[in-house]
Amino acid sequence: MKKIFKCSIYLSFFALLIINVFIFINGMDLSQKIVFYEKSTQELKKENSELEAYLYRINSLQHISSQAALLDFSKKADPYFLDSLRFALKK
Amino acid sequence: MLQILSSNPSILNKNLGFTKLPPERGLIYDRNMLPLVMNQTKYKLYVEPKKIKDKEILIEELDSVLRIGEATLEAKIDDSKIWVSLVSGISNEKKEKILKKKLKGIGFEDESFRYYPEASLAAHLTGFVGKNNQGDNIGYFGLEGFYDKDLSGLQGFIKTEKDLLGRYIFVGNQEKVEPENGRSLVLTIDKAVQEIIKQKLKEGLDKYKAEKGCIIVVNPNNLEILGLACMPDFDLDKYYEFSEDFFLNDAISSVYEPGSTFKPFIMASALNENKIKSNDTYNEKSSIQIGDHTIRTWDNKYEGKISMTRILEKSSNVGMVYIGKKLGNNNILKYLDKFGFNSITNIDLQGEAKNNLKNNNQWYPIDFATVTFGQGIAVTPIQMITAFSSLINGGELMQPHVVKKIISSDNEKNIDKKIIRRTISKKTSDIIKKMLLSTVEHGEYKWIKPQGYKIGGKTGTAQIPIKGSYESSKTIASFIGFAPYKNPKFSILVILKEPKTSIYGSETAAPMFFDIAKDLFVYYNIAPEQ
Repeated sequence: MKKIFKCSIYLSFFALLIINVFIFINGMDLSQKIVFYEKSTQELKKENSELEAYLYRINSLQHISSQAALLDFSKKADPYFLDSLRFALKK
Repeated sequence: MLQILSSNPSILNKNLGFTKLPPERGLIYDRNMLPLVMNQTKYKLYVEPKKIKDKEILIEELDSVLRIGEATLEAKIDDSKIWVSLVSGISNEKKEKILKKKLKGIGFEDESFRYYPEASLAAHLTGFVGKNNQGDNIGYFGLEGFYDKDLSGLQGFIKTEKDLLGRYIFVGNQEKVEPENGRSLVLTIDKAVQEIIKQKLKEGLDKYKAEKGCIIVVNPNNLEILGLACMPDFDLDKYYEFSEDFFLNDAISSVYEPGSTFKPFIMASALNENKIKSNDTYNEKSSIQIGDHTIRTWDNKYEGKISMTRILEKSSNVGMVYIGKKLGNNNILKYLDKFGFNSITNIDLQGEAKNNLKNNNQWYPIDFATVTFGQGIAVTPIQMITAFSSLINGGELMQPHVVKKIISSDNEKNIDKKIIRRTISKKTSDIIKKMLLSTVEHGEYKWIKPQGYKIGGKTGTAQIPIKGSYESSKTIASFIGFAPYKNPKFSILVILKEPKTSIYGSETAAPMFFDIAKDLFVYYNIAPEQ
């Protein structure tokens, strides 16, 4: 009886040890996963903010005005007529 | 075993990792929720000299991407150190290029930088983020300075156990406090209005060969600043290349003599005190002698009997001295105080100049005379437009503000108009508005105005005091006005310092005002009144 009791205590200690190691390894694994997902989230956030910045940059008045200047969309660009408009000018 | 027996917390904490979690700085939007200031991640390149295999190859490879010079890189890498910061502010593309080279002994750290999609459109307004003595981010000037605590947020931290390789173990002792991101600001500024005034100011400085200039546009009914630009300004991305003089926002940090743009205040004060009536007349015969000083009209021409309105129309200095006498010295001081010229406006921007008037016993008779036409008194442009708005909004002096809403993660706080006091009655406000309309319609100078619109305003040409005397060729030319007449949507103040093509406000600042008003009529879709 005593022997069985002793044996069961050893067994339970052993089981607890296994469970402990199992939990510890799982904890390590979980922490690695958390770190991985946190990193991925950060990367996504960064990518998102970069895209947002790019979107606002091409949507900015500065960008539009520089493009307008590049394409010569300005007040000075009067229409150029190949023929004189005789009828429209009542002549 | 030693760790268990020892009660020394420093030993116990050896395996505890403590990492700061920086908060994200709040963003700044214009009134239509379009961003003026954003955040972007850049990278700091560091080297660990002890881990470098071949220093020469490393330097060569890094320089092929960074292009800052091999000698510079070599000088920075100190072999005796474990960790050396090499280059800051590296873009993602450059980082990727370097990573592809698979160099040993280098690494990258994230760095948060401010990003300005509209470049330096509102440099003086936004201010910039620099470093303090401890190397932490801190806002300087403008909104970044004024709202630094709101924008910067609260730092978080993570305290947890680490394994032998320094990796976090998420069992056992751990504590995590999430950072609280900074609050974002929604401004009263309209990006389009800001663009219009900045463009016009640039053109004006070029055209009139002026040294400096400022334009402020406000909504006179609630003192929301719609646009504010002063030039020369600075590049927000390279603020460190500019001296401190460039950072000062002249609209709030510098004082100037307002000249004739000050006349409506004295006129309104006299009307409000019933010392004059709008249909009273004054006999403008000749110059006036006050002590050793002679006060003349700007062109030394005198029209004889003229109305109070005509005094403003022709900007008669002698007429204003007459009104000042009628008003009385005590009342002049009382109204200067009422209009807020003896205190700061408390605008929500860092760097507003404290501008107090002289003590009452330091005012001489000549001071009471010259103040009636805006000489011998110094005001800030923001004081000027704040007081002027009270003239045309029915007499309410309000606190000017740039922020309309503060957004945090859990709530939004709206900032409404704040009335400080009543300056003049509604009736006086209506009379002075009419006088200002007439000043634009029948003034000495005929401007090219937007057709069909009723605009009120007043020009100003103030000589600049240099070493105790006024320099006649150096002036501050300005124009202050509002539109539309019936229900003013905006007031504009245009100031040019030392214009060269003409010294007069009527020939420099006034055309700029009408040019801006024309664009604003189109932008706000305001129909003609006539």
